[in-house]
Amino acid sequence: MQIEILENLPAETLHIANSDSLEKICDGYLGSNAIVLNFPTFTDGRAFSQARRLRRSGFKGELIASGDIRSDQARFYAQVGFSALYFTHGYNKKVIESNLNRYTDTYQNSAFTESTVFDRRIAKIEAARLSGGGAF
Amino acid sequence: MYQYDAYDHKILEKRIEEFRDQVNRRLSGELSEEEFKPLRLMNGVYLQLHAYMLRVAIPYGTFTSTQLRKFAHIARKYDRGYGHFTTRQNIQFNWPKLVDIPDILEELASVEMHAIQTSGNCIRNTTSDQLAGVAVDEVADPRPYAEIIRQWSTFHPEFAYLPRKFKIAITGASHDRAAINFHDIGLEMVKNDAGKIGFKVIVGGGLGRTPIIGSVIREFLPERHLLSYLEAIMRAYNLDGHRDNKYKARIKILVKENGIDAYRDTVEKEWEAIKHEGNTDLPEAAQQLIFNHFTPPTYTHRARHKIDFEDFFKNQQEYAHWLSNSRHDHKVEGYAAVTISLKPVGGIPGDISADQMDKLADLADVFSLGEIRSTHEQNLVFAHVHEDDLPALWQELDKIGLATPNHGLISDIIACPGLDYCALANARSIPVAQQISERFGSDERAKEIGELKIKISGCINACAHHHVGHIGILGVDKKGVESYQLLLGGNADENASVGKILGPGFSEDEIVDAVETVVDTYLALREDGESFLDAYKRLGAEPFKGALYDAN
Ligand code: SF4
Repeated sequence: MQIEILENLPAETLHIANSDSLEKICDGYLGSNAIVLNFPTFTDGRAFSQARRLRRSGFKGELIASGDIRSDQARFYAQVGFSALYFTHGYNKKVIESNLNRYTDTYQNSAFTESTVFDRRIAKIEAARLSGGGAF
Repeated sequence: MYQYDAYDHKILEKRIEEFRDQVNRRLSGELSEEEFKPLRLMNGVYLQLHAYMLRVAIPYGTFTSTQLRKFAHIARKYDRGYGHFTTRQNIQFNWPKLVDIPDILEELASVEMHAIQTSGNCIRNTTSDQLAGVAVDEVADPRPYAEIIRQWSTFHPEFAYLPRKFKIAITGASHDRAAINFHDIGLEMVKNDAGKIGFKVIVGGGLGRTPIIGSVIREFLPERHLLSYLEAIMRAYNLDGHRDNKYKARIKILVKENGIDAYRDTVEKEWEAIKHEGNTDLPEAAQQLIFNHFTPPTYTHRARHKIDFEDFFKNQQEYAHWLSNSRHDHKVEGYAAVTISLKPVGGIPGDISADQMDKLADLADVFSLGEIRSTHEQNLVFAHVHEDDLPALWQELDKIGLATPNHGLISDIIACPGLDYCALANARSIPVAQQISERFGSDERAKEIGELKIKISGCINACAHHHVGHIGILGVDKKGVESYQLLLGGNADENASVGKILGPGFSEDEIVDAVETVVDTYLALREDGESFLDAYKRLGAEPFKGALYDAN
């Protein structure tokens, strides 16, 4: 998984408050270059769901997580569709790297993997069947 | 039973590696306790009054003799020689050292167990009917779906920081042993008119400060859409649930404030969108792979374990008594399920020693296909016992102090850890439970009283579900002194009801007498064969109030 760490916010970013549940997403949002979603405290996970909704609606620009974000959670941000992290406080680059690379398989669909663990299980059995070997 | 494949093993291995690194950063001082807290809470490590506590997940309450032996080993090596079964079908160790916890997790992983998401504001262990797969009143076995939920919810990136913790319960039976009306989401397996299996989905139930019976959000959800529907419920809750006040943050408050109809609209709209995306529900083949793990055993086993006939005939009355409340009917003729009470008279509800665990594991191998279940009432179950083996099983259980014949009776008490362990407690729970079980310790008396569920919580957080006890006891703080309120008439099954507070509280010295007064009042007023709960429904609170408060 990948996620960029920004030193500065790009010009013309759109900030969406995390009280906006994005049930309706206006075209204006989708046309933006970059959107910042905020974690006022790391325990407030609303922006995870906002990110999912924005990506589902076809938002293709930079999606930035900011606020009280944590290095130990880098992969969660990446999985729901954030492309960048903007820290307003210190972070640990090593922890971020290892967090992103540690888990190659996930049970949930994610912005980064084409296939879930469930898909891979089927593919594995299918491959074994085609190669003539038993699946088990 | 479900067995891990290479993917499950690898994910767990990575998780332990990650947690070990986090613990090392804490021990070296790189992380403060404040920074470490959310990381340990992701993994079931609590800081209690005196020590760290580790809560290990037992997915839907089913485990093997091998896993039980591992619990025994952990209790001996890293703890004080015992474990504690909780009301979420999990097991807790109360005295591990932080530095040992990564090693403990490695030991657990070697038997396919973990502590993932047993704490924190995330999706917790899914609980189920302890008779799943063997109950006579079952539409279908709920365990494969519970396993699917376990996998889907494990490290779900979007739902790691919900407004509050989130609990799902699932049952396949018409008699509800899983308290699905009192969970954030309750799932009941049902068959529709076309004979198709699906779920009745209940949302927004819960206990705590504001006990609420859940509302039906969908009468019939086709089973293949389970995950997309759950995801829709979760997303709507994650975005709209209260975050400003911890006591309003559970989904029950959101549903209550918006009304079930408005909440349903939001969820159903989101559900349509998720279905349209098409990447949340499992492909049929993947679902089938999980189902393969739950094919019912072929019932041909019989232990033919030797019986000590002399002892048996001498104590056959005791045996009959144990049988009458511990044996449950089984789908397969000639077999039975057996509850093993973890409520010895004067003991701590849910506690079991390492030696008992080891011996029980051996008995599970001999009598019940090496499988054990835990119940939300803090007891254990052998689900596959041949009827002819019951006397021998009873004798063997009795030898290790696990044949207490009180399942479902007055001394089968649920109690939370309370002031003896818990930092949030107002009052002690365990000593009250011990005193009540001693007061009603005679088998004869307990039998005469009949079915009666007492539940004792040490504070309003209601971990012992006191609102749904036939008699509930709640510890409160009355100007710095421990005090106990009595509630009557709660019920956790399909006829769900919330108990009502009777009146002013009782001191620690008075509470056991007060319970006895309630019981005596019931015995004096009951009609033939009437249970406590039925008598209360007929009589209302008045006669009990009268007996308790008007005496002087
Ligand atoms: S009910 Fe209160 S005292 Fe008892 S375990 Fe829960 S939080 Fe602790």
